[in-house]
Amino acid sequence: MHLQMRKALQDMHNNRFLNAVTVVTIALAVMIVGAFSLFVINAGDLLNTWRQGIRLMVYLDEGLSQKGRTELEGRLRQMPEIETLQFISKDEAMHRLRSQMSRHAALLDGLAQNPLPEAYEVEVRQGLERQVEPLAQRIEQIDGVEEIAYGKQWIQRFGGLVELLRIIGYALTGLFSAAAVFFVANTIRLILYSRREEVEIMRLVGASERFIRTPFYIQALLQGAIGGLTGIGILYLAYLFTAGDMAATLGGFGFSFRFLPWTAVAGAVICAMVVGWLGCFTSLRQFIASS
Amino acid sequence: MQTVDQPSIIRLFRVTRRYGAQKALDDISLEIPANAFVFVTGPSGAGKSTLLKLLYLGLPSSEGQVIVDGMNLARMNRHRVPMLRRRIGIIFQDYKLISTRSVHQNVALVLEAAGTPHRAIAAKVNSVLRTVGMEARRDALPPSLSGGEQQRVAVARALVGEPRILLADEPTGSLDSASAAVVMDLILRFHQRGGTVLVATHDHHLIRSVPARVIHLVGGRLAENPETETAGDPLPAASNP
Ligand SMILES: Nc1ncnc2c1ncn2[C@@H]1O[C@H](COP(=O)(O)OP(=O)(O)OP(=O)(O)O)[C@@H](O)[C@H]1O
Ligand SMILES: [Mg+2]
Repeated sequence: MHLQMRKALQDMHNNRFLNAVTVVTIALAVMIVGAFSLFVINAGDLLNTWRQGIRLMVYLDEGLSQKGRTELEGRLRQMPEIETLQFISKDEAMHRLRSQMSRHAALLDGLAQNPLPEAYEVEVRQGLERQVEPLAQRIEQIDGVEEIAYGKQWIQRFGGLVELLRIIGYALTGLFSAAAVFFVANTIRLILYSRREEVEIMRLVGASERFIRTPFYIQALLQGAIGGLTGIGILYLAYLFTAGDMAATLGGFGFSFRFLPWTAVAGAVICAMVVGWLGCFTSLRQFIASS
Repeated sequence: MQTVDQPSIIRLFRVTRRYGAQKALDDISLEIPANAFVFVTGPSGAGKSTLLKLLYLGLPSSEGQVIVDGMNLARMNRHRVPMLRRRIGIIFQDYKLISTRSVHQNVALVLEAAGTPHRAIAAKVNSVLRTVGMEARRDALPPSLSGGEQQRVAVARALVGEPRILLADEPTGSLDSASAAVVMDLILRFHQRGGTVLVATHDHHLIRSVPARVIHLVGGRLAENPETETAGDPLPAASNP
């Protein structure tokens, strides 16, 4: 193993340029895919932060009886997603509106009667923010509910965007992985062909295929690892430079811009190594078939 | 010729090898006992190299059975080919040294491939390089060596794995008589230690220098009077080492 490692390193040194090109390709692929993940992860965080502060306003039917309201409240109280429930009477609603309009509150004085509906203000339990949409749908079904309001469209649009980006991210990952496999395969192929004679001689003196291939696999795995780490490293530097600005812009939302979790970093490096392995595997298979 | 004590280490039974329609070897049957010294001779194109290649599966036979050291080559799984080749030392006519690896690395390769422990490798390689007189050039690259020196490295590589059989294709073909004598001397010593030797050559001078069995090939067939035994007048240079 020690011997095979030395052979692999010697090979990499002898083919510096080819190896550098491959490592750069892998690094670029990891960087682009990593940047995308970084964006998607943080956008997801942002979305959750928005969901967290969310209150649902459940507006009641105009003519709902006292009995109907009690029943409705009973049903709301049974919903596990709901943390607090506060009844807002017509008067309370008017009071809130007045305080919101402050200086222009006088405009409301002309109203003959209070047009505002009764409502419940619902606060969603911590950790269940993702269930806001289905919860709202269920509440809307209940008898006596006129309509329900929350930052629905915002969340849906932004959520849809994040979802789209996630899908694009997957597509890019596939594309760049394929490109990287292609590059590794090409490097290994070129090295193999330049060493055709040597490989042939090794076979003649009793070297097993495994003995012959191992240095190539080590080389490809190293290319993957180095490329992966370089890509992540550069991405991290970019993150360090921009994180401050991002925090300044978005910090107000109680949101912090974070780097990829270590599992994702490890995953990226492992993926890069798998890419190296695959590239090596394809070109060795072709080479064996042709010799 | 063959006794229970000396079972054949190499057997060919009705072996034919074709290149397209042409038969390079035609219906060859042959037994070679362990520790034999055999010359394979005949005119150019007679099939000498082809015969040697069949023995280490450099080529498969088209028809017939080839059995080497108890292994039936026609039925051999390709994963076992390296095992076969580790029991055979081969001296190629064109040396087949790796031009980008040093003399030491070329010879060590055989042991590395066989999984010999790292420490043992250096000692064995140094010892065999000393035997062939190439110790001083251990770090040289093959292209910087003379033909005779390259051939000695090739011999060292063939012997370092302590094979049971040594195959040599024109081992003295491009050497002057002094170098040829050195190489033949190394091959003879391998034979004296109990090894089986097959040498393909059309050098009659060389054939007469060793007491050996001689197999004549003509146009891929064993010749009319296929075998002779030579008396063995040593090569002039080899008698005075
Ligand atoms: N790869 C090949 N493809 C086609 N024909 C071949 C091939 N190798 C050998 N032959 C033919 O097979 C015959 C035997 O060749 P071989 O090399 O065994 O002869 P040889 O006895 O070793 O000759 P020489 O003394 O010149 O080395 C020759 O007619 C040769 O042309
Ligand atoms: Mg020949």
